[in-house]
Amino acid sequence: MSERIPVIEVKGIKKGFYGVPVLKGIDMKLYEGECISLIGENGAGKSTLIKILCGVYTKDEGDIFLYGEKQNITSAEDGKKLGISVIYQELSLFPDMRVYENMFTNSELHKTKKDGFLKPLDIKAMKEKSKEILHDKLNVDIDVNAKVKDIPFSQRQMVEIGRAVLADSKIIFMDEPTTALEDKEKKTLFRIIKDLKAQNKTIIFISHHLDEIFENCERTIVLRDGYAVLEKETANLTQQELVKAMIGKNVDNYYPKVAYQPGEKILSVNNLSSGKVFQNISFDVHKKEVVGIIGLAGCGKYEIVRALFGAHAYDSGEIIKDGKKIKNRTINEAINNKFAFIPAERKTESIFPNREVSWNTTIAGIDHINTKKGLSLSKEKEITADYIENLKIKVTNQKQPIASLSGGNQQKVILARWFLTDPDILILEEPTRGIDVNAKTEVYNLIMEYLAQDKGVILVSSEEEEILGICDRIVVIHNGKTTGIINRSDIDIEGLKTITKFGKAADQGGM
Amino acid sequence: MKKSKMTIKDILSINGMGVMIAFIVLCIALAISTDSFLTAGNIMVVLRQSVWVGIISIGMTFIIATGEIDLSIGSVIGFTGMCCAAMMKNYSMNIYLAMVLTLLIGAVIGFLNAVLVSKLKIASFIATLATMQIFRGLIYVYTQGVPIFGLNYPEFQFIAQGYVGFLPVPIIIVIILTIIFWYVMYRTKYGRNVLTIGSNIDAAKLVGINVGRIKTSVYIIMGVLGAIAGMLLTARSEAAVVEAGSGYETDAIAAVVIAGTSMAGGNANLLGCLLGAVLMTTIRNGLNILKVDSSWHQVVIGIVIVLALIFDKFAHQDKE
Repeated sequence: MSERIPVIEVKGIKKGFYGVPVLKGIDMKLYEGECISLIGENGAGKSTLIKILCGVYTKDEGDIFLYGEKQNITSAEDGKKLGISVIYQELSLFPDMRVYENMFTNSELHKTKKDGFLKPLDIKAMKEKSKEILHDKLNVDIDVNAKVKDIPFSQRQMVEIGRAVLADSKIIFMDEPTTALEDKEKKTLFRIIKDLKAQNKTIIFISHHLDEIFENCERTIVLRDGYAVLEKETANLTQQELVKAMIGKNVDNYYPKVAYQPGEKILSVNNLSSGKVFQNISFDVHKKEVVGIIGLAGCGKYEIVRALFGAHAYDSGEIIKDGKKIKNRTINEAINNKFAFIPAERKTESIFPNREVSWNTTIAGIDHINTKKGLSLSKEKEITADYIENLKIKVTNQKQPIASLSGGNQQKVILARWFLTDPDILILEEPTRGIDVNAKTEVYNLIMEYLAQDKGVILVSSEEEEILGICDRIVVIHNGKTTGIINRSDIDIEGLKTITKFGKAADQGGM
Repeated sequence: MKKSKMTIKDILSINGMGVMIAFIVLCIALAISTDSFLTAGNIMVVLRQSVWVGIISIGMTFIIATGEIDLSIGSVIGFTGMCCAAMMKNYSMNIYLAMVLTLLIGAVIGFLNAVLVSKLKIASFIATLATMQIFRGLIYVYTQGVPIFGLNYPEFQFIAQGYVGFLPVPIIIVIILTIIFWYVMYRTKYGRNVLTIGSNIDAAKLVGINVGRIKTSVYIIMGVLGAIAGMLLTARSEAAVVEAGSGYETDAIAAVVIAGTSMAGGNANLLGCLLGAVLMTTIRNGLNILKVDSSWHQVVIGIVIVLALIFDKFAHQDKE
């Protein structure tokens, strides 16, 4: 191993912003044909390191070597020329353009030898080449003529990977590539990673999901506080060791589940149906109980809870809360009926990015600060300060825009927003998506504390571990129908994964 | 922790500081270079001429805060001004009744814009571009290009030309409107909802805000303010001319933007936009006093807007 020349080697990379050091001296070597996982909590310096390597940021100190040669990467252009590609979480494709056009953005093929802005494009050749890469090299079936906005997210990601392959990148960074993927799509991605490795590419895989790291990566590098604190063959690594390295202390259990004795029934959903999206959904929620809803993408799980909150139409069925029939046809009605809803897409559906933390805290329960003389800003300040203290939200100032907080702290502000309305039913979609391990545990703790006040929680998630880790009962949705309601004690993770995927338990005949 | 003092940089990066500085510099320059700029009479002239754009820039701030735009407001000023003149002159209507009806017409036009934007989901830029054409066109259709002259009604003239004490009535109107709408914007649930929609419309729906209703109301406010400006303009010139209010929509948008309000919505600087309106009139006034050919006025105003925006950009750069 030591004989090999690393594809890329970094020595003593340092970088700070406004005098605050983010990277404090990183050393690492990456070799051809391997997949390395780079992990760390948010703020550990992962994205800064990537951005330095691909040229978006310039390092303050340290050296970068490619195949043993010292390189000076000062712009994204440089990074691209040296064969470094990044597949970002938020893809950088143009939705209104076609797949093949996206593959060749700014490196279009021309009919003439010379290229130039005004030379005629060789569309046929671009389509052929796109097909060759996507169909033959990556082995994915994507219509190269389709507009990117019309193809599913997983395929868009493949297009982006195809673009990196087309550019003949040696090193491909994948920044949380599985966040929005289904199991089947993840499998495809993992196969592609394997193929790329076989083609001697180097993959740097960033993920919060430890099982994916164990499945795909030969080596793991853990960043914490700007240092690489651990580097090890993944095969010799335990999960505990990893988590400990990430957060710097031992964590026995990141699901702080408290199994309360469930109280009386607080909500009944009976035969709720909405066209083809979901049919005859029935379940109950009791006080001090977390009901989990799980299912594959497109199974209708999000639409079901949105229907309960008045954010999605339903045609028939009834919702009974505290023994009374309610409709919840509009969001306002649902809020008045003491429902609260925290959507999965924090960025696009939860936060008011340019507005203050205090604003974001009080917006749903704004009547708490409304007085005869108009809005009371001092009351708002008081309420916000209370939540910042009680929920341990890390802010420098309650007037700072919420977009400047980390994902975990943003989510806590959103929790505060709805706690203020004192809901009886708290509905959460993917409550810990994109937030780090520490913050995850804190969010679960807050949910548990809330539950203790005789409340009910409905939690929708596509992660079996989370559902099993936090819910008392689990509603499994398959193709818009309930396939089972399971007590958490009656199933293990493998069983839950099977039933989620296939809609029935394995011993009943698998697929 | 020690409380940090405000640095000059912090002060400079306050929203709308660019327009403030531009305004002060301009005033000092004009005061030094001319004798007549810094006289009570001239200041009143500047303020009076700022009234129309000032009033609609209040409404424009609300519209832009929700993330929309209204290009029709200049035509609305002309159209409502004409309606008011026609009701008084051609139909000999009671002055006060005519004024109330004019406000109502403004509200209806605002509602019309709102229907296009929030019910039919037409992009507001296009929808109000269309209504801008329609209402300007209707003025031509009704007047055949001939102004409605001779509006010698003292009660009507009073709103534009009268005084209460030493203060001209139109300036009192602007002050009252400013106080009301400042309160509405910053101290009511309604104002919060307006800004919240502009900040993130999908998230706004999910906290129970009725987005359609708020947008509709904002356009109605705009229509009514347009009618007020239209009547003040007509009462001032004692005539309704076909091109009245033309181009005021861009002046109002410029006033809002140089005050540091983002076109993307979600924030608002109501007092700043009034200053922006005064700034533009001051430039015109100054150029007049300096006897600069009027063809150059547009050029200079354009340059000042660009400078104010560049300043804001630099002042905010470090905050990223």
